[in-house]
Amino acid sequence: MTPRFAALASLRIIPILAGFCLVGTGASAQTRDVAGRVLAADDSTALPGVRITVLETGLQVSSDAEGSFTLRGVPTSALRLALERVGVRQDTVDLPAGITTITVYVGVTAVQIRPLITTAESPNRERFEAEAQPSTVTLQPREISAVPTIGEPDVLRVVQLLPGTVAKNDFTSTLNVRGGESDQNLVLLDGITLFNPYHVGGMFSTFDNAAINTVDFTAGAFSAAYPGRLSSVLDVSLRQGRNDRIGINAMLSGLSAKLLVEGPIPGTAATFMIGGRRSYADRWVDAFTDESFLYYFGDLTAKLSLPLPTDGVISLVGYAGRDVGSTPWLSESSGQEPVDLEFDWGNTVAGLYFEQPIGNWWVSQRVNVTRFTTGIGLVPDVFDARNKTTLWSAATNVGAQLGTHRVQVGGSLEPYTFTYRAERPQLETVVLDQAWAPTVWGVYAEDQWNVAPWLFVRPGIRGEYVEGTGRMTWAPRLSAKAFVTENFAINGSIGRFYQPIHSIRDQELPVSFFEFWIGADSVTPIGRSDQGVLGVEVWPRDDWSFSVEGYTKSYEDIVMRDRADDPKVQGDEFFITRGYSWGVDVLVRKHFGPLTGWVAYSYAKSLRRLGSLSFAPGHDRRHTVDVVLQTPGPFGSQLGLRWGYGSPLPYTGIIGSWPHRRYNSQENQFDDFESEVLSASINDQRFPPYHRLDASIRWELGTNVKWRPFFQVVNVYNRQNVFFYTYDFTGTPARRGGFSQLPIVPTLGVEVEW
Amino acid sequence: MAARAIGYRLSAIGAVLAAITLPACELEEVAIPSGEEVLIVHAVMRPDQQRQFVLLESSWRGEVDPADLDRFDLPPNSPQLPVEGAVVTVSNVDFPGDPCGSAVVFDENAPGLYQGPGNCPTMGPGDQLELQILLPNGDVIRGTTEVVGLDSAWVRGALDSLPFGSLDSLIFNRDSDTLQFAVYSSHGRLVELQFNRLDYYGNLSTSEFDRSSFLADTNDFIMPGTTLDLLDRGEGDEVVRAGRRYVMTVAMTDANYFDFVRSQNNELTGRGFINHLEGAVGVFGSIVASPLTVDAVGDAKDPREGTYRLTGVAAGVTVDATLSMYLRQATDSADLSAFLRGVWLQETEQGWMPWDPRGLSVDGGFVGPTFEIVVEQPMLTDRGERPGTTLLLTGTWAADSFQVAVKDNGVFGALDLGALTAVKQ
Repeated sequence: MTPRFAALASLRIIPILAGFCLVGTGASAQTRDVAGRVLAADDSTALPGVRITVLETGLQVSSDAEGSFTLRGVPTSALRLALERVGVRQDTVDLPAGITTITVYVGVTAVQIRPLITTAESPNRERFEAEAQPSTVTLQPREISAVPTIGEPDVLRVVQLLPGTVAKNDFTSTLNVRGGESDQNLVLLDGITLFNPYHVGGMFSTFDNAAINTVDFTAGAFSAAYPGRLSSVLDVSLRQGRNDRIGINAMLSGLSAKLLVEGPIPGTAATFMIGGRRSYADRWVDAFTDESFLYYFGDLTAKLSLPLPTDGVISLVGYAGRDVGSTPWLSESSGQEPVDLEFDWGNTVAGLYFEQPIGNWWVSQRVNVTRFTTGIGLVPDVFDARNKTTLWSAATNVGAQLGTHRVQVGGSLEPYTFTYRAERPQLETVVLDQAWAPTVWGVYAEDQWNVAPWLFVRPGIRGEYVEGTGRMTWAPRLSAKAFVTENFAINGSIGRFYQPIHSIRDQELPVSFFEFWIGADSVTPIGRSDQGVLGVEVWPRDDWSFSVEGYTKSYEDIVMRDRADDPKVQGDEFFITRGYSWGVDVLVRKHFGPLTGWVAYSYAKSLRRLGSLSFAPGHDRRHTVDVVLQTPGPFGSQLGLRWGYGSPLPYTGIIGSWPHRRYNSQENQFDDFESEVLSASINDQRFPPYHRLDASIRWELGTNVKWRPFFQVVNVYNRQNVFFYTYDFTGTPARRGGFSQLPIVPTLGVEVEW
Repeated sequence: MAARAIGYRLSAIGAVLAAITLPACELEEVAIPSGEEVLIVHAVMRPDQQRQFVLLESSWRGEVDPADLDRFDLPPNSPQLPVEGAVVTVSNVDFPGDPCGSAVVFDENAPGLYQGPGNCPTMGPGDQLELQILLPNGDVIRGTTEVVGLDSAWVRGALDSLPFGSLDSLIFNRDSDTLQFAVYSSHGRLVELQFNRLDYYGNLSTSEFDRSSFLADTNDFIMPGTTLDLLDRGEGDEVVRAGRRYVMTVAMTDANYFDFVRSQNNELTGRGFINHLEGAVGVFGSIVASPLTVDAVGDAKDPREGTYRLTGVAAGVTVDATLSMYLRQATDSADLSAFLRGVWLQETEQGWMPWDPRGLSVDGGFVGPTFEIVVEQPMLTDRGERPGTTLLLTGTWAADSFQVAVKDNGVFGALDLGALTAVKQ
C-alpha cells in the first residue's frame, strides 16, 4: 500500500473542498444537504447499503448501489457521522461545518483471506428489508470473478448459474429465464439497452468485469419502470472511476488482454474510467506459426461522472465492441482477383444521464443511443448481407418519498430501427431488403406503499403506445411483501408484460451468434405475458439467505421463425405462437465469511403451441442445479468451485435423409443432389443429462501493486455433454455421431491492480 | 441453385465460425435403428418439353447400399430407392376439355420413373396442374403447381442484343462486357440463369466444373463477364472463360420450384425445407426455359494470346485453319482455351478427311513457351459423328511463327500425324 493510500485508509475520510462545495444547494441558511459516497479503503469500490447516521440529529440514510448517499437538511455546524454495515468496520467520521460533499473510505471487516471473497451481500439484505420486489439477485464483481469459467470473469456466465435461468449449452451466453426465450430479456449497461451483448458468437459476454459496480438480475415480476420485455431484466451498472488517484487494472487471460484506467479529472470533481480489451489469438498465431487466424474481438468501455454542486450527478457512458473476422475465400494464386469472406458484428452505445434531488423529490433524465450492426460478405462485390439495429431512447423519471409512499412516474420515447439487406452487387440483384421501425411511447407509474412496517405493497402500471400498430397497451402490476418476522417474508407479484420487438432467430438452434430483431407493426404482433410469483425469503442469519419462489407465465403472440417466408414480402417471417411455463426456484446463499456461494435449484416446465401443434421449447429443462462455492485454499489461495446439473433438454430427432436433387433445366433432368436430413416432430427427443464441474484457484500477491494469478479448469472430469448429434442414413445400419460440449479446458491468467 | 448454395455457404461460414469457437469433441459413432420412411417426389412440369416425368422414391433410412448413392441423371436413370407400382396422374384443372384426358396417367417406364404421354397434359401459362399419386398401400400424395410462361427473354451484350431461343450465337467479351438480361413473364416467380459449356462433341458438358447457375428474384439483372462462381462451386472458377462456347439458359420458375431451390433442412433442427406436397417431400413445380449459345472471347493480356493461322499437311489432309487462343491468366504457366475454325482434319472410317470444326472449343496449357493443346473431336462413322478422336497439338511458341506437331493420341499411344506452321494473324 502506498503511503498516500495508507493515509487515506487510516483517515477514512476525505472532505472534498472543491470550490463548488460552497455553492448554495437550495437548503436554508441553517441547514445544508450533503452528498457523499462510501468507498472501500483497500480498492475504492463503492459500498452500497452502508447506514450513515448523523449522531447529532439521528437522521439515517443508506448508501445506494454506487455507494452514494444524501443527507438532507442537516445543520451547517460540524457534525459526526456513524457508518455501519455488516462486513464494514464500524466507524465515525467528522463532517466539518459548511461542507456539502464528502467521500468516506471505510475498512471491510470480512477481509479474512483476500478481498476476493470478503464483501458482504448487503444489497440483497437491503432489498429484502426495503423492497417489495421478488425474484432479484444482486451480484458484485468479486463474486463474479470468483466463479471459475473459461478465460476471464463473465457476467452472463455467472447469471446463468442463478435460479430460473437455463443455459442451453456451454457455447452460449444467452439466457432462457423461467421458460422464456432469449429475446425476452432486457439487458442494460448502465441503463442503456444492449441488443446482443456477446462476443465470439455468444460464447462470451461483452461486459468487462473490472468496470462493473453491481449486477442486478430480476427473473420476473420486474418494475413497471423497465420497458418492453417479457421475462427478465439484467441491469449491469458501471462503477464510477476512483476520485483519489489514477488506478490501473490489467488482465491477461486465455481469452484476451485488457487494461482499465480510472481516476479523477484534475481541476474538477469529475472522474473517469476507461477500459479496453482485445483477444490476441490472431496475433499469437501470426507471431508464432505460419498460419493465419483472422479473427479477433475487442471492446472499449468508458464512463465519465460529474457530481454537480446541486447534489445531482451527470454521467456519460460509452461502449463499443466489435468482433471481426476475415478469411480468404479465393486466393490470389487462383489467378483471379482475391475474394475474402469478411464478417463483423458489434454494439455501439452511448448514454447521457442526469439526476437531481430536489428536497424529497428527485428527477432524472436519460438519453441513449444503442446500435447493433452485423455484416457478412464475400468481398469485393460478390455477396453482402447487413443488419442494423438502432434504438434512440429518451426517458424522464420523477420520484418522491412521500411519507410511507415511494412514488415513481416516468415517460419514455423509443424509436427502433431494424434493417436487413442482402445483395449480390455483381449481378445488381437484391436478395433481401426489409425494415421495421416501431416507435414506442411509454409511461409508467409505481408506488411502493409501506402500509405497515410488516407489509409493503407496490402497485404499478405501464402504458405503451406502439406507432404503426395503433395499439395502446396497459400493463398493470402488483407486488407485495409481508414480513412474518424481521427475517422471514412472504412475497408475491402478479402482472402483465408486453414486448413490442421480437427476435426471429431460430430459437431451437443449439447455438446462435445473435438475435435478429423485428418490431411490431400492422402485422407483427406485440408479445404479451401474464405472470404470477409467490414465494418466501428467509434470512436465518445475517450471512445466510434462503428463498423459494413459484411462478407461472403465459405467453401470447410470441413469434417463431417461418423459414418459408418470401424475401419479397414483409410480414410473413414468423408464425405466431403461444404457450406457458411454470416452475419453482430455490436459492440458498451464503453471503460472506470464509465460505461463500450459493446452491440454486430450479424446476420448470414450458410448452409452446403453434396452431394444433404443441411442443416443448429447446430450453425446457425440468431440473437445474448449480452449486457455486468460494473458500480459502492452500498457500493463501482462494478456491472456486462450480458444479452444475441439468436434466435432459429437448431436441428434434432425425428419422432419415433424402436426396434434395438439383434440376438441370438445360437437360430436363435431375443430375445431382445434396443429402439432407428429415425430422419427425419438433423437439420430440431429449439429450442425456448435463453435468459439469469447474474449479479455480487464485492468489493475491503484493501490496502496492496487487498481482492476482489464477488457474481455472472447466469440466474437470471431462464429461461429454452432448452438444448436437449428426446422422448418417446413407449406409447400413444408420449411424449417429455428434459433438460434445466443452471438454476439459484449463486456462491461466493474471490480473494486476494498482 | 444459387439461393440454396448461399444457404449452404452461409452454413459453411457458420461452420468456420464454429470451428473458431467450438473446441468440442467428436462423440463416438453408434449404430441406431433404421429411420422412418418418407416418400420423395421430384417433378418439374415443362410446357416447352414434349414429355413430362415424375420421380417417386423413398427416403434413406439406414437400409441403403452406399454404392447406390452414385446415381445421377434422372431420367434416364432410376432413383436409388424407387417406389414402384404407384398410379401417377397429372390433371390440368383449368382445362377440363384437355384432349389428353382429365387425368393424364404417367406410366412407370423404369422403377420409380413415371412418364406421361407425349405433349400431355396440355398446359399453358397460368394453368393449375394437380398431381395425384396413389400408392400401392392406398396412401395418396398430392401437389399443385401453376404453369409458368416465358413471354420473352433478351440478353444484351456490348454490341447487340439477342432473344433467348435464337439460333445465332452471342459473341461476348468476358473481360470488358456485361450481359444485361430482361425476362418477361405473366406467370412465374423466379428467374434461373444457367451456364453450361458445350463440350467437344457439341453436347452440354456433364462436368459440374463447367456449369454455373444463378437465381434472380427480379426480371432485370446483369452479369459482368468476369463474374466468378463462388457460391455454387466456390473454387473461384470463372462462369465463362474466353475461348469457350456455352449454352446460356434462362428459365422462369414457379413458386414451388423457387422454394425447392432456396430452402433446405438444417442439420441440427431438421427443419427449413419449404415443402408444398401433401404426403411426401420434394417438389411439384413448373419451369419454362430458353437457351442461347454464347462464344466467350477476351482481351489480349499476354503476347501468346491471339489468332494463329495453322497451315500444312497432317495425316494427308491439307489444313488451313485458325486457332484463336486465350489464356486464363497472364502467367508463365497458364491454362488456355481456343476456338478452332477453318479446314481441319477428321478421322473417318475411310481415313482422315478435311473437316470444318465450326469453332470447336479446345483446351490446353502453356509452360513458358511450350504448349500442349488437346483437341477432342468427333469421328465420322457410318452412323454419323461419334466421340472418339483425341488429337494432341504441341510445340514451342514464338512471337511470329512456330511449328505445331499434330499427334493422334489413341489408346495405343501417340501417333505422329504431321506438323503445321502457326503464324500469328
